[in-house]
Amino acid sequence: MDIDSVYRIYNDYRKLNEISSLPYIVVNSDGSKLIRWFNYDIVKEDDSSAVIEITGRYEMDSGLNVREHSLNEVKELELGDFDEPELSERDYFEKLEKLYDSPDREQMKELLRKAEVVPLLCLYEIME
Amino acid sequence: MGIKEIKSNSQKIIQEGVTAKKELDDSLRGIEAAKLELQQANQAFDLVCQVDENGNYRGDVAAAKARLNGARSSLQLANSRYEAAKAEIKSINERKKKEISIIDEYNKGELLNKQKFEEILKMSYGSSMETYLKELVARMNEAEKAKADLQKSMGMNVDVFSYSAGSGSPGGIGGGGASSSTEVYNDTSVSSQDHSSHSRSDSGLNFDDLDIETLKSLRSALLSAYVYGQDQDIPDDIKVDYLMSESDFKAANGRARTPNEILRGIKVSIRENWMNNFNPELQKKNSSEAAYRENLRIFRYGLSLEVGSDIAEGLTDEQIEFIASERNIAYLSGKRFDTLSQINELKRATKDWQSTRAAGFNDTYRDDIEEILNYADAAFSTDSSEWQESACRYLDYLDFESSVMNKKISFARAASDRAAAAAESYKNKSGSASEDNVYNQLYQEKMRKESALNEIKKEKAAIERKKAEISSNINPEKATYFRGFGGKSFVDVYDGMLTNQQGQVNPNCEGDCGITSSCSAYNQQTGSCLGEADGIDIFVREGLCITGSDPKRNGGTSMNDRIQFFKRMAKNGESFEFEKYSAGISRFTPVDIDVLAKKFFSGSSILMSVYGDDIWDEDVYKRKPAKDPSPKGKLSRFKKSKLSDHCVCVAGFSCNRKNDVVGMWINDTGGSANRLFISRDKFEQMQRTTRDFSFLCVKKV
Repeated sequence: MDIDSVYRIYNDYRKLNEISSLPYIVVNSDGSKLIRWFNYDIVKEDDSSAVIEITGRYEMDSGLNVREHSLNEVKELELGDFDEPELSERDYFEKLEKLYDSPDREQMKELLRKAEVVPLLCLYEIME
Repeated sequence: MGIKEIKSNSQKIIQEGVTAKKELDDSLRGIEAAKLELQQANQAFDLVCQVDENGNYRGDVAAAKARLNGARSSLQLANSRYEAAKAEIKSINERKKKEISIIDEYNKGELLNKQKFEEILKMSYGSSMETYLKELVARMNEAEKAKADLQKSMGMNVDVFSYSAGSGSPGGIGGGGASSSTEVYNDTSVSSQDHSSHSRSDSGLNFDDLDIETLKSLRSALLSAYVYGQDQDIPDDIKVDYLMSESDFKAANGRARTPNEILRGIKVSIRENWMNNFNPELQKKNSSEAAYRENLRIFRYGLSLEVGSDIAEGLTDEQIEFIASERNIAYLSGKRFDTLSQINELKRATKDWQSTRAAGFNDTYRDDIEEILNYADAAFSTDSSEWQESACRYLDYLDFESSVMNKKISFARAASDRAAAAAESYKNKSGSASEDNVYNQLYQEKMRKESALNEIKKEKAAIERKKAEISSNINPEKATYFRGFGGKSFVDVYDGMLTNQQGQVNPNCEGDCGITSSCSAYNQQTGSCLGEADGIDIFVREGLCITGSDPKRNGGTSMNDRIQFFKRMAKNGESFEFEKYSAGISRFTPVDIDVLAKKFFSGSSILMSVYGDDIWDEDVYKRKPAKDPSPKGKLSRFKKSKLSDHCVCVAGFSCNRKNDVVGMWINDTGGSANRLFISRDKFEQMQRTTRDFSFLCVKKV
């Protein structure tokens, strides 16, 4: 998998006033692999909470074809105190590229935990 | 059907009746002759059929029989001819009755016209109406005479009705007012049309008879109706459809003109008279600004009726003033004025005036370019490359303005010369003394034209001074030149781009930078004029943008949405090719500005996804960003910081003396001034710091 190609296509589907989640690997029951992500916007935010609107879910197959599912899900998140993630976006993509060859669910979760801000991690579980 | 046709038909039918009657009489005579022949043949036959004492016939029986058969046939033919003639006469009588009904209908219509004109006459609409009424009554009387002729030809004993110019109608129609033929007007000619510039009438009425005061008094009643569409002071049953109708009074020859047609003609004359007398300089001096603007608007509307609304609406106020002034001079000096030719000449003379910058398409270019220098003065020192670049582009603009001024001076000089010649010519022709009102007006006009010429010269001098001032701060080593899309200059290159701040067209759709930029690129590629409203309609209809959300989010698009937009706009076999560029994530390789410039110079439009904060500076620009440039809250700051959130369209590139690209000029609808420069260094820095900094090159193939 060429992670730069994935990165470019993944960005093509982001509306400019939205945010894309980090892409993550999903293994289907038939063994096929997908890269999934979702787009969202922060509708409201204060010190302790934020309202997130998830607008779409995207799945890219190994041929770099993308399937789009429109969504309109609003989630309220407790923010609390959170730090910047350990991994930069670029490091995350590099590790994702490596993980893609032999994906592991726990490793994927761990990677997300390192690269995403804590309050948003629950969204990945919902979208799984 | 007109009176001429009525008269002609009536005479034709009467003649046909006469012919048919002659045929009937002939056929009757034929019957009598055939009967006589038959009688004689019978007698002859009887005679030859007698036998002598030897039993022989007395004559030739076969010949007598043949004669008898011939006589019988002749009688049969004569009877048939008689029956045919009788049927023809019956048919002609039916046609005569029908023609009489037509005449009755015709005069019913004319009678209504007459009544309406009498109402108009009551409103003192001038002697021409009397002339017209006279003509109308004459036509009605002619129709009555045609009817009487028909009735007489049918053997009826009739009195000829006649109408008079007073109120009333003949008994046959409305009862009362009938008289024997004693007061039939003889003057049935239609007054010739006068197409001189002084008094022109499309209605066939001769407005030479109307003096200026009469026209003025008419104006109050009808001009308002004409201009504003209110039928003030006009009888309710005379509804004027002037905005929809075309004057074609030639078609009215030979038939009664309707009151609407007459009113239309009056309005045309009033309008032309008002426009001929409209002197912008005097109006400016003698009326309030609001009243003057309103009159200018009315003049523009009048022009639109003469040359079409497309042309009239495309003229600036300045051009309207010029046209009005020239028309006024022509009118006063008794010369013909061809409005359309003047407008075309005006356009040919001045390139700037030829540009039709519609609202939202570079229509505020002067302010936009001023803003560039204001920003540079406020933000940079004069020796900085940013200031130098801004100053070079400002000089481009001043060069353009200077060339416009040269053309204006040339045109104003010609106008001034024409005004002087008109005054001189009038003076020589009339031997006019200074008290002559027309000469005074022409003289004043000449002085005004001279003054206008001097004003333009002053403006030109101010531009030259400004050019010299800015040039003195330009470092020749840093001087640049501009290469706009399609080779256009810095002033014109934004013409097809959407230069208004986004979100003004639809306040519920403020996040449509991708839409406005896509429209600008589409216009660059196709020469179209897609505006923001058009773009929103298309993107929404095709499901290519955010809808039903917060106004700041509505209209938001992705790179993929923008590509889909171009694909769906392709028509008539055309298509678009796309190239996407972005820096990548694992192996960061910034896109070279030279690569983009090469694509641009070969005809590609470039849409650029940027981080808006990098190009907006609300402390310096007058225009505020449409969106909140700084995300609030820790989560927003973290997730949105340096993430591309705005789309702009490239207008052109600047190059130095070595032809190296030094930066690009973009069109930004997001908030700050729309003409923004991104230097080569800044361009690279933006790529390094922005997440998802990307480009879409689009080219029509």
